[in-house]
Amino acid sequence: MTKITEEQLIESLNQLKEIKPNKEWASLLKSQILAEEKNVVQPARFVGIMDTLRFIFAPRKLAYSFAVVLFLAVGIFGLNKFVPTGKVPQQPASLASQTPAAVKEQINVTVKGLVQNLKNNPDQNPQAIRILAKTLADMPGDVVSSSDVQDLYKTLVANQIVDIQKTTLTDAQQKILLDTVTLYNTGKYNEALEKVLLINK
Amino acid sequence: MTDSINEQFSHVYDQYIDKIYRFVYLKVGGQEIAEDITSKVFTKGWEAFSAKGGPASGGKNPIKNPGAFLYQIANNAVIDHYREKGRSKLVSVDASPEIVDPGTNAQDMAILSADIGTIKKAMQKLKKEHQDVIIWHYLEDMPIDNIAKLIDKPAGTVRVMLHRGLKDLKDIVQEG
Repeated sequence: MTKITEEQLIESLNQLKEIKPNKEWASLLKSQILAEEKNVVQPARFVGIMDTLRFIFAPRKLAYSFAVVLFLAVGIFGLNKFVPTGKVPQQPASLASQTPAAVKEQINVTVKGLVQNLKNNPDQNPQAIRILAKTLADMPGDVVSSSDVQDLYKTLVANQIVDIQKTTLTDAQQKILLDTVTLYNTGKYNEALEKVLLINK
Repeated sequence: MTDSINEQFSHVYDQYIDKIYRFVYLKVGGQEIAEDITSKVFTKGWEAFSAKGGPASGGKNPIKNPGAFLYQIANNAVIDHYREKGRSKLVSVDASPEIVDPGTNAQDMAILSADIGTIKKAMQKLKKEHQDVIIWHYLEDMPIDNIAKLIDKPAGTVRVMLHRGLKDLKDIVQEG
């Protein structure tokens, strides 16, 4: 029997204060919760992007989804890193007055930045990548079909496959992984993404 | 000028995310489960906050004490978790492999060493009411008067609960 004094017990309890959530997880959860609702919290620079997207693309889902992608991109990579071309997203006022084509170009710049960063930094927090992938999976067809977004899908799926291959899987999960790899090899990246998210549930 | 509801909740989130996560973690003992439950707690908290407003919102029926409100949701969520799993708290400590989470991260591995791991497991064997007051007082440094308000009991009762909780915890550790 281990003898322990009350002081030692309280000292040990104090050490339990070291239990803390993963910082990235906590940050992502916060942005996800606040972005999901009507009263969306966005950094000022993204408000205009959201408003413009909402106007251009009828489904509001896209606007919110893309805003979340941007939000996550900044959260994962940092604003100065996620656009390697140096084309930082424009201020809301100027973006809002631009043509749909110009706004789409802005999306492409952002997506290209994400792809580049995912390729350069494949060891990103899997949970952050998972949320990013889920958000992308919600995007409507016209945006998803662009080559830039397809490239992002491809990179995300590859990243997820590598990550999952490091874990122990059930028989059912192994089958899904095989299906995912088959879809990936045939270039069906968005279908592969949907599959791979099943494993990650 | 009053902060927007989003800014208020953002502040509440930053203030309580560690505390609620720790509170849940010590009751369920696993990182992934604690993350899931904590997510639910703050999602529900945000829904209520959006509808009612926070202490500074000037709404009709605002949430006056966000901390107490979140702890209440967390308590209910943990109860729901065990109810859904069809297992009691006491049984889970010895029978469930989830108590030592296979997904435990490096940080957790460090703090699970030696006696800390013992204390953590012992905490999970305590009565729920003793768990609560010990976590609030010794881990969150909450004064006894605040705990008394939180659980709507006299301060003297809280002192007795703390005393009994510590004694039980000590017994569990020594028996372990």
